[in-house]
Amino acid sequence: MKTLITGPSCSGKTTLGRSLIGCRLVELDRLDGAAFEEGNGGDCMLEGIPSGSEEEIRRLLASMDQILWLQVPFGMRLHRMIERDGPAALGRFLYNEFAWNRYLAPLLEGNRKVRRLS
Amino acid sequence: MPTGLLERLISRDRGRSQRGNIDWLTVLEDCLDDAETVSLLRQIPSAERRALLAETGREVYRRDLGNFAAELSYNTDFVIASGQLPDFGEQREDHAACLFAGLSDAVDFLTRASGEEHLAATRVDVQGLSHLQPFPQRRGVLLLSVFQSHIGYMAPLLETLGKVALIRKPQGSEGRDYFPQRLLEWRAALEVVPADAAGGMRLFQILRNRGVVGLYNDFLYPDARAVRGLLFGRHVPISRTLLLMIRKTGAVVIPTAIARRLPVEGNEVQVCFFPPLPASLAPEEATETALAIQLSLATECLIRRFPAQWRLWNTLRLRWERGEELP
Repeated sequence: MKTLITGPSCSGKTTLGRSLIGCRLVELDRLDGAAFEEGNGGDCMLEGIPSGSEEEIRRLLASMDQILWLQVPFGMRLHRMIERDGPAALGRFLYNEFAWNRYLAPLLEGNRKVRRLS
Repeated sequence: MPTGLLERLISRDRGRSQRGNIDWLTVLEDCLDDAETVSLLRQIPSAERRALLAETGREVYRRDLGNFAAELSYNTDFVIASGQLPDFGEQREDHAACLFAGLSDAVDFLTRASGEEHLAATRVDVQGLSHLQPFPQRRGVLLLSVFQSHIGYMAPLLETLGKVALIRKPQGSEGRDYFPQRLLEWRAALEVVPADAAGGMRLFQILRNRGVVGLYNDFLYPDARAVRGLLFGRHVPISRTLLLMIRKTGAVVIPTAIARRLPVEGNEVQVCFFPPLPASLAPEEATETALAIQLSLATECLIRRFPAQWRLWNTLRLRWERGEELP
């Protein structure tokens, strides 16, 4: 069963992936953000949504059996970002937030495979 | 120690003091000097960027990230408890929103093109222009202000006055004549004068030639010559050179505020000119003490009118401490 774990910055994708897949962090990092390759098959855990065209992302979503959308309040994610990356990463965090809301979240709305986790 | 873990520990401490405080004012200021951050922020449309930053400020306050709320409380509890600004406790969250949203405005004014686009989308309400109009070209004019909203909202007006001089201390390896990159495209309207003796002389010259100088009176470089002024009932340092300049050049002092109408996500900004300081209308008769008191009162009034927008609340106690150290 192919599962995509996705969500905005600092929503806990890696943490959830690690606990579900039971692999070490280094192994998960290899998968984190990696582009999905057709034919991987089997039980597969992917994280994040790779950058690329909207069409590519739609194809990726269509190929999944389920999609876990992590919904964590903005303030909590901001807190995590500051703890993890320091306040200087604020600009990138805000850009990711904007891009998520503008481009990625709408692609998940109404998708029947999506399960929202908060 | 594994390299990855070491990097994480270093990144956790980045930008924090030993007590875990994050100097958010500096963090926000530094964002403007980081090309990658500026590039990312510019990709977000202005209104959305300002709303995102305002929400970030509110969350930083609510969650006390980097001890922001604790520091704000430390700096403002006395002002609230003493009845000077009894309602400010309810405005602290708005203050955080304004402080962070200010970064969005600064990004908008980084280039002339984006500044003009931003101005076209903003309603700038100019009030009290009659207080200013009698003086340009007749007397030197000193626009006295405090750190509130971005000076760019006044840019079209400033251009009608000729060049307006601002003081700035050169940073790091910058030379005396360095013109800050972020103001470069406003060079036709602004002259940046270094905060040193030669810069002071230049300001004297501008005011004697009936030019316009813009000054913030809520901040003083630590090495500047200072006399005691007042702010919220306690002594703070104010610039001795500023007092001398007003008395020697006969410049008229016009308190000036640039403030957003709240909520900060809106698109309205007020530029307010207030009546000239009486002591500056007859500077030859004014004593240094009278001028210092009037400058202090005017500065405090500017803060009191738009308390949520004063960017330097978290420096208030430090200023009081410096004021007490003065002879």
